[in-house]
Amino acid sequence: MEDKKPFLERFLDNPIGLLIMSLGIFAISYFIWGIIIVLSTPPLPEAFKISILGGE
Amino acid sequence: MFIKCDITGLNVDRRVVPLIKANAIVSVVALLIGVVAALLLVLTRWQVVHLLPMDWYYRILTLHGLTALVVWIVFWEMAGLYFGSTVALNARQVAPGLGWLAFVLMVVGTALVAYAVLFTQRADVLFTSYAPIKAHPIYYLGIILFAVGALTVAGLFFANILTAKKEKTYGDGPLPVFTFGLLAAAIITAGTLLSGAVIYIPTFLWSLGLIDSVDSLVYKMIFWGFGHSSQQINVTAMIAVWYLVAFLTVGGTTINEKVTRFAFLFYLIGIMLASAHHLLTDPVRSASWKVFNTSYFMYIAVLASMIHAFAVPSAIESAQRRRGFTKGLFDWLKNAPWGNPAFSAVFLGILNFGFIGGITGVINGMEQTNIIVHNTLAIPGHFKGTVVGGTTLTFMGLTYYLIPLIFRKKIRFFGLAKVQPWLFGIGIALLAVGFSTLGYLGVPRRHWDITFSGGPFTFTFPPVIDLFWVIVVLGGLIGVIGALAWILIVVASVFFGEPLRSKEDMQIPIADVPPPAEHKGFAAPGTFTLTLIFLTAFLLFTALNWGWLSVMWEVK
Amino acid sequence: MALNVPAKGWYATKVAKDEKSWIVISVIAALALFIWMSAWHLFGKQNPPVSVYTTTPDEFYRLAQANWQKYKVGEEEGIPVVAPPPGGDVFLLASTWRWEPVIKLKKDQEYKIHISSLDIVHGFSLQPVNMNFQIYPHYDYVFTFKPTSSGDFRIICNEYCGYGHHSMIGKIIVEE
Repeated sequence: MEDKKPFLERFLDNPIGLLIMSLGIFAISYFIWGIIIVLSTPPLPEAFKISILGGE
Repeated sequence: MFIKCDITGLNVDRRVVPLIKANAIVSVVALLIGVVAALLLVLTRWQVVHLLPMDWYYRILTLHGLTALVVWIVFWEMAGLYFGSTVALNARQVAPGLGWLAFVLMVVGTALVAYAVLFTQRADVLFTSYAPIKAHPIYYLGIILFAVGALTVAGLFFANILTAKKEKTYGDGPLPVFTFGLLAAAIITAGTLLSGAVIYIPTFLWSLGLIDSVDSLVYKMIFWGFGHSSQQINVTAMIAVWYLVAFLTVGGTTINEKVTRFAFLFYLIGIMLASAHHLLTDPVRSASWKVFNTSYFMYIAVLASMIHAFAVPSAIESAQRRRGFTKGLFDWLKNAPWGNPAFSAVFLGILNFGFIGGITGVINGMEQTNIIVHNTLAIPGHFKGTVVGGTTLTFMGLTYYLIPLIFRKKIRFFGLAKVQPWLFGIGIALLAVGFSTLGYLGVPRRHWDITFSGGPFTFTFPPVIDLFWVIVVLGGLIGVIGALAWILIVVASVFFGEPLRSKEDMQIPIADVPPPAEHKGFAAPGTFTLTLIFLTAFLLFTALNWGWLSVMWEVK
Repeated sequence: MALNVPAKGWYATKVAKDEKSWIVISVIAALALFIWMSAWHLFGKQNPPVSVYTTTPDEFYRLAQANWQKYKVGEEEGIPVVAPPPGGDVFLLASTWRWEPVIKLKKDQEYKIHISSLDIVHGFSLQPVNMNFQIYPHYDYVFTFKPTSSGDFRIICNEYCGYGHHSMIGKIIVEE
């Protein structure tokens, strides 16, 4: 009985596994992280706005 | 269902051949449109001629971006995916009917987009169609149909290779490296098109008035998840083709299968998230997000490119050395089959892609040096080097084998064919370098009039730009001639060429595999020298850019 | 062979000396690039800002008007000329197809320049220095700029914004 091939050798021959890994990393690192950053952009602070709009 | 190819000995599923042909033919039609558009555009940007009026410039620019960057390349890649997952594996095509449905969707989608751009004239939005700029709904619908078709073909690729493995049509090892590279391309295709669905479907609904508004920053972030990944499909497919052409032209293969496959694995890990390099000078509140993603996951995918930069030429070199060309560092290259247009196309493609595209690309994609180049002509300069001088030229090269092997025709105007890759390769190199230089001098991309007529103030770029505009036009014209020559050769061969009767009729041979040989010391000293030269050029250009940046205004 | 499967034992094949050397060199280069880009945030003087706030065209316009009124020193081609104090805030407005106001700065002084768009996406391109950024509606992108050269500068728009895109050109004056 042959020794089982190393994990990476088998993984390289696993198209669906590669697909899931690739899309998963992409989705998390680029999209999810990025969208969270953008959607959590804060509004201009009130105190700052008052200092601009107010008088001296 | 199968016939045995009398030239390669491969088992070919009869039903896949028309699918390959149909996709290839449409790709050439798209390239023709893209090239004619390119000619009109370059004669407009060169304001000595300033050919197109303002609205038509942006309209044709939209058309050019889509036909040259997307339609030409993706249709060609579809043909490649079919070929790589069936013919290359002696395997059958799963559900060819679905393949025809996909083809129709892609053709109809393309037609709708062309209609929207040219006839409704309500789609002067450029390839990026940045919201809140809004196009006619048919524009978005066309792109969605095209994407659904392409995604279907990617799905068929997966079905084919999984079936081929189950039916053991290619022995019991892993996929051949050409098909494995296409697998990486197909995975990136899936990532691309799923991102495309996320951006284009809501935008389509917004254009119909069914969604109230689209946040422009969110739009751009999602768009480029689709947009840049689409270009990485091209990179990966191109590299797969490089390995194939090395095999066909000199009987060469990667000197280490593990190294090459790991490089493709690194692409799968880090190549798509570098889409972030389109948002480096955008108001995204996280330098970490920018740096981590733009670096292709800490440069793991750039490492992959550098690995292929050695593995592909060394595949050629090692085969040549085993054939007896062992003198000095470059005897192997001098005696390479330069008279074979597939070989010259690939080698010029490697040079264009690496030296022009690759070097400028890494700089463009570094968070801070992007400040220098964002939205200048340096950006098109970069991508003419990669996708035009690299990928397009590579695909042109492999087509010289597809004509005899798939279309079973001899190559007409073969003398012209031998020269064609040089015309196109050198023309595009000049164009790319010209654009890049203009960009570094501040000249904007996507701009109809750099004298700013009608504006409240005037500005003149340094007078040396006149010289570089001439270089751009010269390169552009030579490149257009090179592209039209290729189209002429392909159309004439496919439709009016002499039928190919046997292996003896092939004007470019499939090389014999040279004998194996024990090699002491370096396997590919010539390639090693070339890659060191490349690295030196890269470090020099990098240092220059950081130097230029450091003397600009301070900003944080 | 590209069209044949690799020979048995391919996974265990040793890597040739030159290929291995090249890979090592490439790994070092890749890490060096990553570390350099990260470290530039610490010792480099040019970094894309991360100060961003959401706003609305209405709100930004009102803030801009108040700011210009406070620091207005003149007019050029019908556009207000505004000179903020060193260390102060100035609001730059992008719209189809103009940049407002004309800004007057002093060399080697720091300013907080708030840039937003009233309508669609525009490109801030400072010439001839050649620094380029992207400007959005509904986002206030705050740049802490320190001009290191004096003279007469232009802001051209380098993000396509419609047919009049080429006529969108603004001005920054930097005095000694």
